[in-house]
Amino acid sequence: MIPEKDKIFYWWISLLLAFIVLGAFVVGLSFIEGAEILEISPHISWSMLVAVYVFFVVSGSGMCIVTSLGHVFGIKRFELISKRGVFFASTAIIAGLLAILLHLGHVERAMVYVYLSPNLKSGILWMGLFYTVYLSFVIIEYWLLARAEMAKIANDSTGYRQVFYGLLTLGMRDESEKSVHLDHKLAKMAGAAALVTGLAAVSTLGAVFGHLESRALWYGAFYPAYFILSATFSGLSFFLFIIILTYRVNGEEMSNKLRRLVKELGKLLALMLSIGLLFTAWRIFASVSNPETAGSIMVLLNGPFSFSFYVFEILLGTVIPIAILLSPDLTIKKIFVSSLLTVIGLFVMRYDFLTAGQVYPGLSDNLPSYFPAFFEIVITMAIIALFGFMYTLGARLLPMKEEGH
Amino acid sequence: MEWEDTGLTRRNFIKLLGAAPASLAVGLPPDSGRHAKLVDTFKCIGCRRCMSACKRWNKLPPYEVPESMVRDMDGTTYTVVNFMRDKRNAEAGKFVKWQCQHCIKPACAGVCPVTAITKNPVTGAVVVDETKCMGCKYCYQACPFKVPRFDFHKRITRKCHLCYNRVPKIKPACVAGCPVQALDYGERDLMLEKAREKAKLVKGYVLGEYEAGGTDVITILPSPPEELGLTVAAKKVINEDIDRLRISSTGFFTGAAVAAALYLYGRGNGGDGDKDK
Repeated sequence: MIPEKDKIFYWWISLLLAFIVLGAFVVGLSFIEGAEILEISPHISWSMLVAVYVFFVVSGSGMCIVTSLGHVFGIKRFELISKRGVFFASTAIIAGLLAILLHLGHVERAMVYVYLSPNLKSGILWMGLFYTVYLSFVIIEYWLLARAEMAKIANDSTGYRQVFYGLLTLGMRDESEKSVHLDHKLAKMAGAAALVTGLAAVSTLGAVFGHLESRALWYGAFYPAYFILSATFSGLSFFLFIIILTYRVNGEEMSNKLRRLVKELGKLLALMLSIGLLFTAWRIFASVSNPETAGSIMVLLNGPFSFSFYVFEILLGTVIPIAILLSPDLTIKKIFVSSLLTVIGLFVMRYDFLTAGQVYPGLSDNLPSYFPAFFEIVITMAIIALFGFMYTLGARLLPMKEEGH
Repeated sequence: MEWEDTGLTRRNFIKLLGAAPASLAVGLPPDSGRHAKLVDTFKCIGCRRCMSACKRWNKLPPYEVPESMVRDMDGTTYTVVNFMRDKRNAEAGKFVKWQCQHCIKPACAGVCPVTAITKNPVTGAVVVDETKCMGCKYCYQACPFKVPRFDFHKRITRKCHLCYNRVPKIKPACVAGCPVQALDYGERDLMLEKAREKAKLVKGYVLGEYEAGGTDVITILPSPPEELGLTVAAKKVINEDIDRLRISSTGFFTGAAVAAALYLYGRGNGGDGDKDK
């Protein structure tokens, strides 16, 4: 008899797997039928998948910035979420990178020619490089943080469990204080390297858009800086949503320490969102007053994107969460609601940023319209499911419990 | 080395010196061997034989005219001809051949992460290496004329390559196919001179002289491109390296500032208090 909790787990995993298989099927189909089944408009050549990519990798980078407070900069209370935070960052980046690889016409060529004939002046080249290096550092960082615990499980168990965790430790099953100390020291270094490459990666991602002089909405020095800022609230909100959901689904109580930290992170989210709002306001004023960029920002303010801009980005994604998070009696439930709202608002924001940037200036005065193709939505769901799948398995099998040191 | 070897006579040298400041101003090398295509919309009769000549030479599938009758480039259509009406003067309008403008300093080549796009400084051709292109579509985003199109079947970006496999010995397929000599291909200086003369005569506009820092496709239009509903490019080199460096460095400085702030917060113990120490 399978316990009720496990039943939910298996149902959930099967559902996610179904989405992943469906997505894989569509990807296969796009190779047979041609990639146009994934994209409708030739004028919106960076479509849904790029928005998904930006959303995930920026969240991943942001969470890396937050977790670095703990084991890199030595603030003890933040170490509580180090393992889950770093694991979350790596799964988010893997999901994001998969989205961008699926978006490419020829992945295999990307792998070859970035080494054979790299264009060192291209933003995409550096972005790809930084994100790949960053991902490796994050994975190493997680492994160093979790190795001792995995070694303990391996040493304390028998059978396949021992083999599984033994493999995860790569055979290094030393649990002594000395080895744990070394792990921590190395994790600090890996974390510092991850922070540096993560910051470089996310700002380069902003620069990929910022470099484009032909795209008035994206062009300029604003986005490389803003992407770093938005990474913090993107990562924080997504992480808070995930951690609270995990505890709720597992029916576990948060420790008082963790409760306090989650509330503090909620306040931090409110602060970051407020700074983000200021940046956006400044961006709008600066753009509107410049005749060269006024048209592009008007697409958001008073054009086809105005509804999703005001309702999703500003109201649901920013203003309401700030209001909830700053209320005097902040509860975990409130943090959950506001982080969910922010996640939804941010997803819409990335999507709008991407499509609005491409519709202006339009061709022959007509803005090309865009709505994701059906198959594009299927692949998007599959990527989100893949993220869910990796995280769910990780949360069940790998060490990431928020236990005091 | 003899002067004759380089083809640089005293007179040419002085001419070059004179041209240098003007060329530097738009970022162009002061050479005169550059070739360009000339499109004279005043001669064009809209037969679209250039479109089919292009298709034939490049072995591309036939074009299906959309219901709107407005022809647009796609992954297998490198050039289109549309009747463009003047916004201010409905009477005035011309058939305009639209294609890759072959910028002298192509923004697409500058952003391509795998150097799949190259510019030939003599023939003028900006060519996508179809065996190298990884289909990221960054070139389309960077193009000031929004030209490169994604071929959904080959999964690469394709566009007019100025018949790099014909020129300069044989004229481009469209030029050779034009029945009324509305198209020409030759030394850029010569083409530009022709265009200026014609534009003066018909009170037209020379597209490609300054747009995007100068292009190797020069089109004589009845009026400026914005009035004809064409994509308008700024009259300067697009995506200059120094500008991109400026933009990237803002990000790096912000990143450094964030890291420094985190460090300082951590050093001050981040409000952990003494009890946790």
